[in-house]
Formats: sequence, structure tokens, C-alpha cells
Amino acid sequence: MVAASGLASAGFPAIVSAVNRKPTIRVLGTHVTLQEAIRQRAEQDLGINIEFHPGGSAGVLLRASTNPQSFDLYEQWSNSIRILWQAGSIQPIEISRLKYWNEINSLTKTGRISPDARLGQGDAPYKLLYVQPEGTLAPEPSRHISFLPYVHNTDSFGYDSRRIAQGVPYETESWGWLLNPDYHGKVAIVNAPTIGLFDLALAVQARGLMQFADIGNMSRTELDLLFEIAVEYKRRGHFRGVWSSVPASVELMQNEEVWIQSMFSPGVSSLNGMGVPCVYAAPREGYRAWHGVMCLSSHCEGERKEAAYAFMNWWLSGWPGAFIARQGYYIANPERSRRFMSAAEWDYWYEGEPAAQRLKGTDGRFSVAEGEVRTGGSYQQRFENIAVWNTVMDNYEYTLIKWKEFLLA
Amino acid sequence: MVSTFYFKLRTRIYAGYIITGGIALLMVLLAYFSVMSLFGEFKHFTEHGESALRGQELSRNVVELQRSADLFMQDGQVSGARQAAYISERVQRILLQLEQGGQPEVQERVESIRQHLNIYTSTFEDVKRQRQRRAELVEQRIADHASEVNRLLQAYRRLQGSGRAAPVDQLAELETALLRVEQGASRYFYTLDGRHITRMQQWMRESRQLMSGFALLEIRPEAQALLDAMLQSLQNYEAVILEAVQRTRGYMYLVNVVMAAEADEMLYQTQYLAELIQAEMKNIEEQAVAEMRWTGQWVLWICLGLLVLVLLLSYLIGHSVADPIRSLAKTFMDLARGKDSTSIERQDADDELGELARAAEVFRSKNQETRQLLASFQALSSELEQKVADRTQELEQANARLEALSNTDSLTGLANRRLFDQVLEREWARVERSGEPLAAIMMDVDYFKLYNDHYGHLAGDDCLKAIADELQLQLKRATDLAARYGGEEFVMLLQNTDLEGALRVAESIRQAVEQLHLPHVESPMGQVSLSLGVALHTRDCPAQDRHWLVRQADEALYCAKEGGRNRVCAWPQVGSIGRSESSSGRSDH
Repeated sequence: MVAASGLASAGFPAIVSAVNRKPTIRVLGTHVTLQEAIRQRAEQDLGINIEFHPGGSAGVLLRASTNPQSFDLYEQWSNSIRILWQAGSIQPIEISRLKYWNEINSLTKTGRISPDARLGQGDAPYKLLYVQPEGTLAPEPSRHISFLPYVHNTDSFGYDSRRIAQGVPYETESWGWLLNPDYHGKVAIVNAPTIGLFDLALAVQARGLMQFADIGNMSRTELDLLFEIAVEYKRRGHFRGVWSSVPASVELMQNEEVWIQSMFSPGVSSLNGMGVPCVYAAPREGYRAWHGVMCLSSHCEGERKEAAYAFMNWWLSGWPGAFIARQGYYIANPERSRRFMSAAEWDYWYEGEPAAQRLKGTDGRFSVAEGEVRTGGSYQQRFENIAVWNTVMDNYEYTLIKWKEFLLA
Repeated sequence: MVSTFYFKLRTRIYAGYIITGGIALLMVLLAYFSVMSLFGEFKHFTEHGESALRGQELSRNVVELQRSADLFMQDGQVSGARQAAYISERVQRILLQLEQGGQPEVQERVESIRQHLNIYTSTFEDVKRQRQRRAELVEQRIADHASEVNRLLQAYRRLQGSGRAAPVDQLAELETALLRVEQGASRYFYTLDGRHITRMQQWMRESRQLMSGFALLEIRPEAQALLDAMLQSLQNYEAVILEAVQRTRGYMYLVNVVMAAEADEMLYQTQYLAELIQAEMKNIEEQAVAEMRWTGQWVLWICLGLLVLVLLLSYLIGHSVADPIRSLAKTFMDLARGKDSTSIERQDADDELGELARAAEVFRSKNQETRQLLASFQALSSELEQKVADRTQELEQANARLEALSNTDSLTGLANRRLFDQVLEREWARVERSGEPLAAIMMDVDYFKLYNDHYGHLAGDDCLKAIADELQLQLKRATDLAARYGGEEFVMLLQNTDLEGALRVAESIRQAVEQLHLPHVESPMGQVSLSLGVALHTRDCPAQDRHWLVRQADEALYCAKEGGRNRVCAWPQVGSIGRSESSSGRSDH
């Protein structure tokens, strides 16, 4: 990694830590978790310097996988684990150094939040969690894990209820809506083959256009057929386009360029805060779930490693979980965050109860009206209904080529 | 009369011309400005037409940009990259042109396209770097590391000849494993199938385990050092392959996901922008048409308004001029007809009409004087007329007197009674002196009163004139005299004529009249006839008085009348006194 180290030293001069005696950790990730409020609070609580280097999913993944010297901690989604682990960019995390390990719920440990829950297809985090003695990742528990389980959520699509009649969660709401000809030209998909691809696949499957042997690991033939269908829709002008960031998704629906699209929870909150009645669907086929991963750079050692463990433990210490709950995200050890939330907040965000009062989002604006009920029900109910996890499939490279065909159709 | 027009006539007419001229100028200016406004609209429209073309050009360029970038990304054509950079600059220029003077919505879209273009171009730069780095890794560094591991392995194998550590079959196994690693890597880069990397890693682990196994058995320091170097080299080899894999994936992600999405979005946005501009152009077109229509209508209404103003003004000025002139003309006409009682308006006015009014007043006063003069002339004239009438009367009286003094009868032209008396007196005296007999024939028209009653006095007069003419014809000698004695009575004096001769003459007269055949229905004779009485005076006759002869003739006439009219009677005893009846008469005929 001679060439990579050159890039790293150019990107992050050590002079920052020379000026300040306190250790500095560099966190590479996306805007989902790299929020200024979180950074400031962590610095305050931990007495360390924290640098956030947020970026686009692809950019941060490429940087992390090719240049592990450029970061200490990497925050992204479980679908990047295979790549990072394969690239040797991250080192195993010692469970013994994780203060709240025992509080982490079974979702990441066994794949099921409850005994009756569906085991989502694709790269369920539990499959990638434990580091095996021979260096592979597997569900069998060990003393080391590849990532710290923390933020996670179920994703689906959002729709403007002024344009599309509101459906019944888990009953009428369906991924198939994304391909409803009535919404011609008013549909958008998230621009990520490991995410948006599943939205398309679930939609195609819901409309009965094709079936997958394993939706979490599609064959090239299946991909060919899937994209044949998707490209046909795209050519007919069914899709407004794709979006590459949450603000872009918000803008699309706010401008009424789109009625229905792949959505992330903050986008839905943001739209509702603006008065756009965006409904976050609970598809009867189940959710597309994602799990946030916090990884330790293979090059993080010494003082910085200590600080990195401290930051990981801080993330599960309650306040951050409550903070991101207000954006609709869940934390791996919810009970610890409960004490940092009002009863109304807990009931609304985790229990799926109607809001007892108006609730504020993380931006301080009211995003939840009194009496409003979170679509999809409680935390448990949502994670009992996972169709597929965001996944880097074996045919990842092929999906990239196909994705371009779809985009430029 | 409009009281507000107190300016001079000249001033008023000039003002009328100036105002009309001003209004015409205003209309010209208005037309000019409306034409300029229409021109502005047209220009605006044309500019937007250009920007619509730019919008379409933008779409084409974005497609071209993606095509050029693809050329580079697929085949590594440097010209494609250069072309892409050139097109990108062109797109930036077009965006700048569109941004200038564009509507906020257009500017917003342009900004959005620019952002996507910036991401696209910076990603493309990244792609170029990744491509180069990947090529370096795949084509050079991986091979270098592979040969380095192989070199170490061969060195170890050579060393193996002298030792006993690693069995030959395990060495062959390691060689195979390393070959599989190489195969796996190259297959991945050829097929881009991730499973080859998983397998490659398995072979890598296998190789590492084999090497570790050799190391455990090895006791020779140089061999151990060689194995350590081999393990290190293997690790570097794997790292390079994995970096190449990540570079490949990263490169593919950038090309297939990031750039493609940006290109897709740019295409959408440019098409949207082109439509937006098109719609805006349509809007501008409609607006321009509406504005043109509005301007046209507006100009028309203003022109009409100004026209009405001009007409009104002309009407008012015309009236202000014509009314007093008409009034003055009437006044002059009246004055010309001789009226002097006409009241003359506007004499106080300080304008040309005032002057005319004052002239009329002069005319009027002159008229008054003339009238007074005429009255005095008329008085004089009637006085003269009276005098003429008086003179005429006097003259008529004088004429009447002169008539009385005349000798002829005005109706018949015969001698009148007065001349008869004078001639009788003279002839009476001559009888005394010469002794020659003097005969007198007295004649009377029979039933003349009945004639007059029946035929009228004018016919009566004509009858008398006809008889008188016959009498005139019967006068054979210049010394004989026929006279109208009065009414229907005639008398004839015959000088030196005896009774017989006189009777002959009388008979001749009677016959002559009878021959006239003048009808007289009231007469028993059926025609006009005469009764004649003849008398004779001689010297012997004792009569003293000349009237005697007339009385004798009258007696004879009476006798003829008595005898049945239309006959001649004579008093036969000439010179005898007493009455005698002549035998002559009708019986003679």
C-alpha cells in the first residue's frame, strides 16, 4: 500500500494533533451519522478532537477501501463491510472493549429481532458480524466483530398522499406501486446499485413480472431480466430519475417532480416538517433494511485506537441513540437511549403509538403532529418484516454495468 | 356664442392650427413609441428564440459529452477525454449564456445543471486518475508482485535442494496455489465477477498456510529469511490485487453510478430547461402578441380620442368664428335691406369681429340718415303730385271749353250745330243779298231709340257714323253743308237749290240709307231708315228769322214721320207762310 500511504499523508497532515495535545480521530462516513450536533456532543463528552469527513457513499467507500490510512473510524452501511473486509481496510473490533455489547439486541447478533421475525435476505448484518479465526466473516459468534452495530432502519418508499391515495400499511401498500403506470414520470429511485436495485427488484417481483431465486444474491440471468424490465420502464419515461442524496430526494418531492420514490427516513421527516404529506410506506412484501456499521481502520493504532473505542462506546451510551431516533433511526441498544427520550418520543418512535404531543426533529422544528402514527408500527414490527437487506452481491460489478444501462436508457 | 373664446380670431385660428399640429405630432410620437415597443417585444422574442436554440444545443452537448467520456472509459481513448473536456467547457459557456437574462426558474435550472456538470467533470477527473492507477496496478504492479513471489519461491526451491524441510509435492501445491491466485485475479479483471476474488483469496490463504507450514519446519536461517520475505511479498501481492479490485470497483462505481446518474440528471434537466425555455418562449410570444394587440388598441383609442378632440376643437373654433360672422352677415343683410332697428352684438369685442360689428353700426347709422332723407323726399313728392293733379283738372276744363268752341261733331265728323248755325246765318244773309233759294233738309233716324235699346249705344254710334258717311257722299257741292243737329237728327243746307232739287237730294239720301241695309229688327221696315223733311227759303219769303227754315224742315220731317217714316216730305210753298204738305214722298217711289 505504498501508493495509498502517499495519498493519506497528503490528505491528513499530522499537524492537527501536534497543536492540540488531545488525541484526534478522523471519522469517514456519510451525512446520515456525521452530523455536527453529534460531533460537538461527542467532543464535549469525550474530551477528544473529532474530525468528520462526510462524503458520498461511493466516494467514502472507495477512499476507505483503498486508503485505510486516511481514517480511524468508518461509518457506513453493512453492505460496505464485505468490500472493506476483503480490501483489508478495517481491523477486527474486540468485543471485550465494548462497554454495552451485552445490551445490543438480537437483530444484529442472530438476524431476528424476535423469534417469529422473518430473516431478511441478502447480507443480513449477523452474517457479516463475527470474525472467524481464519479471517472470514460469519454468523458464528467469536471474540471479534467486523463492525460495531449501531444505527439501523428499515427503508421503503415514500409517496405524496395528495397525489396517491393513502394505503393500508402491510396490506395494500406495495413495492409494486413504484411501477404503477398511473405514476408515469413521477417516480424516482435511489442511485445506488446495492440499495435502489432492491427497490426495483421488489417492485418487479410485487407486480409479478419476475421472481428471484434469492433476491439477496441475484444471478446474472436474473439481473439481465430485471434490468430488461427496468430499462423498458425507464425508456417509456416512467422514472423521473434517480437521486443521490437525501436533500435531493426531498427536493424532488417538494417540487412535485416526483410523487413516489425510494426514500430514507430523514427525507420523509423533512418533507413532513415542510408540510408535504409524504407517507413512508410499510410494504406488504416487507422492508428493505439497512444497518449502520462503525469500523476501525486497519491502520488505527495506539492513542487514536483508544479514542476510537471511546467514541464507539459513546455512540451506544444513550444520547446519540435518542438523537438519531428523532430522525427515525433506531439504535442497537434502544433501552439505554430510552432515558434520553420523553415518553411521547419513545412511544412514537419505538412503539409505533400515536404521538401524545407534537414532536420535534433534530433540527428543532416540529416534524410530528400530535396524534400522528409512525407508519409501519413499532420497531419490532418493522424489523419482523424485512424482505431484504442492502447487499453487495457476488455480481456487484455486473450490477454496476447494468445500472448504467438503466440510468442512460 | 361661447363666452370662453375671447381671444382674437387670428389667435384662435392660429391656436387651432398649432393644437392640431401638436396633436398630429403627438400621434406621430405615439406611433413611433408603439413601433419601438413592438420592436422591443420582437427583439425580446428573438433573444428568447436564441436561448431556445441554446437549450436544444445544451441537450445535444450533454449527450455528446457522455458519448465522449464513454469513448475514453471503454477504450481508454485519450481523444475522448480531451473531447469530453472541450464539450464540458462548451456546456459551461452555454449555461453562462442561458443564465444571463434568463428567468429565475431558468437560472435555477442552469445552476442545477452546472452543479451536476461540476460533479460530473470532477468525477470524470477522478475516473481518469482511477483508471490510470488501476491500469498501473493491473498491468504492472500485480505482475511485479507475482513475479517477486515466484522469484522468492524459486530461490526457496533452489535452496530446498540442500535441505529437507518442505516436501516437493507441497512445493508444487504452493506453486499451483500461487498460479490459482494469479488466475483468479486475472479472471476477475477479465470477467469482473467477484467470486474470482473470493476464490483468489482462498488460494491466497492456502498459499500463506503452506508457507507458514514450511516456516515451521524450517530451521535454516537463510531459508527462514527467504520464507519471511515470501510471506511479506505474498501479503503485498494480495494487497495490490485487493487495491486493484477496489480501484476497479471504485472506477466502475464512478463511471456506472455516479457519472451515469449525473449524465441522466443533466439530460433530464437540459430537456426540462429546453421545454421551460420553449414554454417561456411561447409565453413571451403570447405576451408579445397581447402587448402588440394592446398597444395597437391603445394607440387606436388615443388616436380616436385625439381625433375627437381635434373635431371638437375645430367645431368650437369654427363656431366661435362662424357664429358671429353669420350673425354679422344677417345684420349686414338686414342693414342692406334698410333696417336700422337691428341690434348689433359684440361691438365691445376686442377682435376682428368687434371691428366688423362696429362697421355694421356705422352702416346702421347711415341707414337711419338715409331713411330720414327718404321721408323728406317723399313729403316733397306728394306735394308735387297734388300740384300736377290740379293742373290736369284745369287743363281738362280748358279742353272742354275748347271742345265747345269746335265746329265739327266729334262722333260723325260732320259739322256740328254751332257751325250749322254760323253757316245758316251766313247763307240766310246771302239769300237776302243774291235771292238764290236755300234749301234745308231735316233728317231723323227712324225708331233710333229702339235701335239703341236693342243694339246698344255703341252700335247706335256706328249706325250714326254710317249715316253720316252717306250724307258726306251726298254732298255734291262745296257750298252744301251736312251737320249733326243733335242726337239722331241731321240737317243739310243746300245753297242755291230749289225745292225740287232739294227733294231729289233728300230722296237720294233716303235711298242711299235704305241701300245700306243696316238691320233694325225693331223697325217695321226691318232696317235702318231715314225720315226727311225738306224746307225752302227764298227772298220772297216773308220770314224774318233764319230759324224759320229749320222749323219748316222740322214740320216737313214731322209730316214724313206721320206719313209712315222712311219718306220725304216738303213744305211746298216756298216763301209762303203756313204749313203745306208736299205731295212728293213715298208715293213717288
